[in-house]
Amino acid sequence: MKPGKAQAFEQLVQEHERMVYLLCLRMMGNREDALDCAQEAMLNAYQAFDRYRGEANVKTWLYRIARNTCIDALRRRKQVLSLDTLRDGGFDVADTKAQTPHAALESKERYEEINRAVQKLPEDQRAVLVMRDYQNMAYDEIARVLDLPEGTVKSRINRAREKIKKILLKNGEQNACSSVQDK
Amino acid sequence: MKCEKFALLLDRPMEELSDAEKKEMDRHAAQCEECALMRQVIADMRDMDAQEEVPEAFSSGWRALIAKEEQKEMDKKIIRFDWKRALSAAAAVVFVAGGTLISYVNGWGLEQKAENETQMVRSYTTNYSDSANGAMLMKSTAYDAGAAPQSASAQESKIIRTVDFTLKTQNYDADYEKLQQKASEFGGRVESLNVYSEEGAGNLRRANLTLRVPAGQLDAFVESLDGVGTMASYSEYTEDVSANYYDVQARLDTQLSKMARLQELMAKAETTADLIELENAISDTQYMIDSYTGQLKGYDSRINDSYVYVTLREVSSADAAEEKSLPIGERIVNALKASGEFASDLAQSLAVFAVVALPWGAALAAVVLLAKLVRRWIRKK
Repeated sequence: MKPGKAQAFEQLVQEHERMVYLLCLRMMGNREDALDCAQEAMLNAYQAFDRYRGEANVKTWLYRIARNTCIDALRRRKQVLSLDTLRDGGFDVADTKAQTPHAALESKERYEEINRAVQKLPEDQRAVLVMRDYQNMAYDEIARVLDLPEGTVKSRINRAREKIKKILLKNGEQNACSSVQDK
Repeated sequence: MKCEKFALLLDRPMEELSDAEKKEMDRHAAQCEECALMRQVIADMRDMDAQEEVPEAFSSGWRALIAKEEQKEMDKKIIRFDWKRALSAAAAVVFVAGGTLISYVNGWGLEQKAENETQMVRSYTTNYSDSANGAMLMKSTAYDAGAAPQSASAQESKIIRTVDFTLKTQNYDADYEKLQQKASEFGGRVESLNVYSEEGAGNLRRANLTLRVPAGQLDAFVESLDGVGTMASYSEYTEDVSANYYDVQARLDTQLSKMARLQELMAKAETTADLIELENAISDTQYMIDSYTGQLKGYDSRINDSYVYVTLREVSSADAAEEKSLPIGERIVNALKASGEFASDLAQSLAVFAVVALPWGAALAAVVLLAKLVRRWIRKK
């Protein structure tokens, strides 16, 4: 063990900690799980720090660990997020009063709808979408993190976006129907 | 603009787009609700992350976790001394070193050799005795055919012990006195003595003594000489004469029986010719009886009183000092020789022990394997 290993690690990763947390948040879908998962990811990275030789960019290395930690956590959880979990995570869906698909996405509620839709994506598509659309990462960077060809990343993102669009459109129509029925 | 082109432009960062492209996208979004929705979704996603605050619990949490982990690693480093492994290693070292030492001290593998050598000596002695007695033995066997001689193993062993040693002394007179005194203390006596001076060597004296010490007291006598000069050399010989001894005794018994029969015949003899013949026979028999009796007495004397050949050598103080302090080179050579011999002996002992330990090692491995299998089976259950 190197002397001051924890200190060296902290210096190396502190500028990426926010992105690690956000990746975990979008992957896990709620803040509680995100917190646990992000902490676990940081611990995993620390334990792997001795083996880190700088061959990969720190961000890429750290993201890869975070993403793998999230996948493991999701597999452990092995359950679809309940509405209660989403609510605990700050995504209140009960008050959605959208009138049209587009109108439904007009406030804070839009964020909740989007996040719920993202949680319905398969893990591999969710990961690329989060990195690309939430975190604005370049394709080649995502490809390095996921160890995939760039073309595969692009096609996954396209598929993920298509799915998100369908989910949101469907939700918008359902909300519009329920709104009419309420009246 | 088509939806595909809109999607391509949407994928690019806003700041990279030209004004014309942005206007074109706006026009398309106004007509296509789905594209407008996706543009809004992606913008929202980026806003979401920008607005999201990282909880303090995360920042402080992971730092606390790695600090704890670092402490754990440091503790592990301190307590990395693996007792299990250390004990196993110590046990292995004790086993191998102990085994080698036992092999070295007990001389495993040497017993057989020694035994063989003893057998060879015995065999040689027997052959020699047989050939020495030659025809006589055969004759004797013929005479004793009807008798039931006691088996050799049931008879008392007749052992002749002889000791030969050289003592060096600077106190010649005192040690010479002591030697004789000790011999007489243990019931011994001086059988012969030869004292002379070595000319040209500072008239240093030398005494060759032949002592006779009762066999039962021989060991005690030799031990009692500790302090009488310095033992320069020591040899001890043991000769088992049981076979010869009992053979002679059997022949004597035969001759005695024969003598008794001859005397009976003598009493009954009626003619002069018979008397003359019987007297001759008695004379021959008596000769044999005397001869055998003499041989037995000789044996008894050598068996009961061991021969101790002592050479008492006077040495000058210079010789003694020289012997005590060898030149450094010679001492180093001697030490190296001794060390080499010791290492060689030890290596041989290790090899012998390794072979001796093989079956035990195999048995141990089988037990460990069995224990592991049982453990795995229990865990599976």
